[in-house]
Amino acid sequence: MEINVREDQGRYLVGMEGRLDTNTAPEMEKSLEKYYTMNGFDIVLDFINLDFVSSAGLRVILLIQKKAKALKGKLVIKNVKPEIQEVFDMTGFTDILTIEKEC
Amino acid sequence: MTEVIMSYKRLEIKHPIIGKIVKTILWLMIYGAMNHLLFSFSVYQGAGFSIRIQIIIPFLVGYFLGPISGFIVGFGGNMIGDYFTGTIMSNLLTYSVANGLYGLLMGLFPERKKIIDKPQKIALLYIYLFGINIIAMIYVLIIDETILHTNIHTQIIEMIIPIIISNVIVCSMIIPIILYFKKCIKKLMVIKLLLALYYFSYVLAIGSVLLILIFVGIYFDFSSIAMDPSLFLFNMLVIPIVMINTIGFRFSYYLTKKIITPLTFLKNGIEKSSNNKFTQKIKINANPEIQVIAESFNKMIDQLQLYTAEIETTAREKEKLTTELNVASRIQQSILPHNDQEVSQEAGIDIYGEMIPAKEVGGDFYNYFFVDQDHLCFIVADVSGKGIPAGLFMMITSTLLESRINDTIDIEKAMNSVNNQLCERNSEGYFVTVFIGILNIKTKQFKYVNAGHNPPLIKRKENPFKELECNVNFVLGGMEDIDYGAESTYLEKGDQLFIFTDGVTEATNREFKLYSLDLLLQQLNGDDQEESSMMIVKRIFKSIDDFVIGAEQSDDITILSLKI
Repeated sequence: MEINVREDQGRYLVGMEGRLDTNTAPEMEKSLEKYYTMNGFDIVLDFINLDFVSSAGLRVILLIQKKAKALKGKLVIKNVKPEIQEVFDMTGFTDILTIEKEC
Repeated sequence: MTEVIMSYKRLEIKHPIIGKIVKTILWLMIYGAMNHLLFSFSVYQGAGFSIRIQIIIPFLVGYFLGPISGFIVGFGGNMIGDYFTGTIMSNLLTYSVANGLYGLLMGLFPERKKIIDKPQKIALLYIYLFGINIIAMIYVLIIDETILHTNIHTQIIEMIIPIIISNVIVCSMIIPIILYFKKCIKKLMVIKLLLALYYFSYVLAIGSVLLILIFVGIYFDFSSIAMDPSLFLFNMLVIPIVMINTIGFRFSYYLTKKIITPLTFLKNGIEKSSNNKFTQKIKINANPEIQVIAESFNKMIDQLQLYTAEIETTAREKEKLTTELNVASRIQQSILPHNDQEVSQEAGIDIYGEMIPAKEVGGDFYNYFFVDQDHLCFIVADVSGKGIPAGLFMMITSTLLESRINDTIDIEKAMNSVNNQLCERNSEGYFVTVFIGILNIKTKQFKYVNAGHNPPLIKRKENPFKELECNVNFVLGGMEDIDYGAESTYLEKGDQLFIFTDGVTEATNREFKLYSLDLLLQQLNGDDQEESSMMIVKRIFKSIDDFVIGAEQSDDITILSLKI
């Protein structure tokens, strides 16, 4: 999986590509750690090229969401593919995440 | 011709002695024919002699087939040649026997049946060839002297020495090459070097002697020697031949000692070290280049010892870890219900579950137990991720859920409280998707909560399996203070529930195709209604196995089946 982070006026745009599963989730956690541990962070995850999210991937997303609550930060996810949206719906993640329909 | 060769090759394998006889006769014919045909052709034609290339035949026959064959071919071949050429048959006792002696003596060469693998043995071969020719000619000289009473002086100058020279040149030029390509000489670097050096010095020495003599001849009147000038020149070749066969081999011996001996020491040292698991260093005193290699090798030994120690430690640790993992795996499997018939019989419900982890330890679990006499609780859950971290979290969740449900039969309350407990000490953000249900076995009322889990499949009466309608609740352990909402329905006798984790539908084969819900429904609905829960679970596991055909299991797989 590929992760690239772009800064845009204090907001971090994270482009993700491939599969977010048990093997790649630790990689995502490690490469984004320095951003989601800042006070009042602002992270946008762009899922336009992401094909699959497993429960291990959901864990990392949830971890960032929880940090957002604790550090008064902000997490937005955009361009979610229908099959991933289905996972969010089934697990109840839709209710706790901010998912942008349009970019 | 090929057919003849083929058939005698077969003969050689079947009857070694007959094969040898046939070969001997064949070579006898060839040698005889060549002696006759090549009579008027020679590389160099002197006064009473010529350079005969075919002379190598008795030598080679002697070398390969033995002294008797060698003698027969040499003697017979020369006789046949002389007979057809019309040369006086008195030669029979002298030159024909001399030819026979070539083969006979060659057949007695001590290294004949071994591969020549040392430069010293090559030297021996050359000296032996030289010796055979001298012995054969001494024989000729003695016979001629005693029977024909020829002038011994003229005989030596005009016949014996030129024949020895020409035969030695032919033999030592051609025979080693043939033996080399017949793999009778080992292709070692030192032997190649020796042969190359030998041929080079031969050409150089003969060439320079001839040049000098011709140069001298311009100012020197040959007639004063009272001898054919070409014969004189030819006789002078004795000097380079003796030179090469003595000085040449000394030089080669020096080379061997200088290069090959230290290399052999080095090789032996490395071999010795490798037999001792590379713990022994090489001690060597040689020229600087070899010394450098030995030192590098010794450095490598140091490094190797470090690595070996490291690998041994890692292997020990790994073994320990594997043992511990196996124990962990057994502990985990043992906390799952054992599928004994007790619960099933007491509840009048056929219930069977199984969990197969992707690694030794899994993050999935199922559970079923009586809360009180009338209420049967069952749970299927899936912790995010897999392996040991997920396994640890699974153990806590399973224990907490069972104990909370036993405190309060209200599954909403139990879920709310377990969720907060899990959130409290959850630094790594693990969570669980849970399907939990409580069935009143008297009234058949079925209350259930789905916390982010994939909906179970339900089969009511004669209808096919379909997804149970569930409200979506957030996963367990993800966020504090979630209010889990239960739903309720009634089941009837004969209804079936199939609760599973996404490891089933997301089982992946080598082409990255998913097992999918469609295939699962197809498998379940195609089944024979009289199957027990155990049979259903086993059959679905087998169907998943058949689907993935050997692909690595990517997620834990859990199935719990109930037949009311």
